[in-house]
Amino acid sequence: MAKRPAPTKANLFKAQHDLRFATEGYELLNQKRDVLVMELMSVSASFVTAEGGLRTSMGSAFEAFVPAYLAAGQETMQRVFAAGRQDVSLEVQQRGVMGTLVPEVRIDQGGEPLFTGLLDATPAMDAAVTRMATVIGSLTQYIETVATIWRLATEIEKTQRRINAIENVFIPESQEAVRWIKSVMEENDREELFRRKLLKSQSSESGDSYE
Amino acid sequence: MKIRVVGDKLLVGLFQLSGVTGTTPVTPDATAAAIEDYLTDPEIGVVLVGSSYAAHMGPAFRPYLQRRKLPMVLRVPDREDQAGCADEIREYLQRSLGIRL
Repeated sequence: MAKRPAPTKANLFKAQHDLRFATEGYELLNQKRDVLVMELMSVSASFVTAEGGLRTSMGSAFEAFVPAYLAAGQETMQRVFAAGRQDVSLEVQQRGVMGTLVPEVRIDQGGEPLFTGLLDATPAMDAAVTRMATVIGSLTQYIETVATIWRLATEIEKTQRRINAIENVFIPESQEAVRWIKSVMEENDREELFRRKLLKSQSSESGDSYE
Repeated sequence: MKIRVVGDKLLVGLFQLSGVTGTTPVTPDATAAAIEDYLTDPEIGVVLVGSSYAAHMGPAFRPYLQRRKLPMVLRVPDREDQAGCADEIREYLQRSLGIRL
């Protein structure tokens, strides 16, 4: 049980203020959680598409790459990798959803795909290179949706923990403090009233005037 | 910014065809070390980790997924484990938030 505050008016005002603050915070956090859940649900629809697209395109790229990799041997692969394209560049911007930053991603694949025929690789290697362009294309949506889902989900979990703490700890404690201070103050008022009545009756019996 | 890959030779080789380089660690600890190494590089925006490598790391991989800063760490399907991260996300949302995808 929480420690009871001293039953003073100042503590009553403070407890009432805390209660109002906790109630407002509870409502705001509830709204925040609802907005985040709606955003999560809308992103999750595109996640299913993005994830499926990446899985299919990577499966297809592996299908062409694995036999070509095994047939090429270490030396040819070194040549292929050494003659590889310029590094893929990535641009990440962040937008806020109820204070949570979610990424917006753009990938620049650089120049044209490398064709490996001159490097003694099989045509399957060229197919793998071409299919990798599709993989990199589908990575954009995948990176964006997966990162957004994890960030939103983590934020929702954190918000839910705060809501639970306010609902189950702060609000009941503040309500209990207000109720206890009010009851003690009312009891003190009644005692004071009774004492005054007693003094008044005693003074009227003895003939003194009571002020 | 750049993309880097952590995974088996086939995954790293496949991405290398597109000019995305990476590392092939041999143990889960080495995988974590490779990821940590990439996280310290401000030029890197995304680290893609092969699904089977992420699975070998177990729960130690989760904090990387939940990072709020760049670089982002993501799990991608590889030759050995084509599940990707869909099941993990579904399970997490269902267990911690009660949301069913």
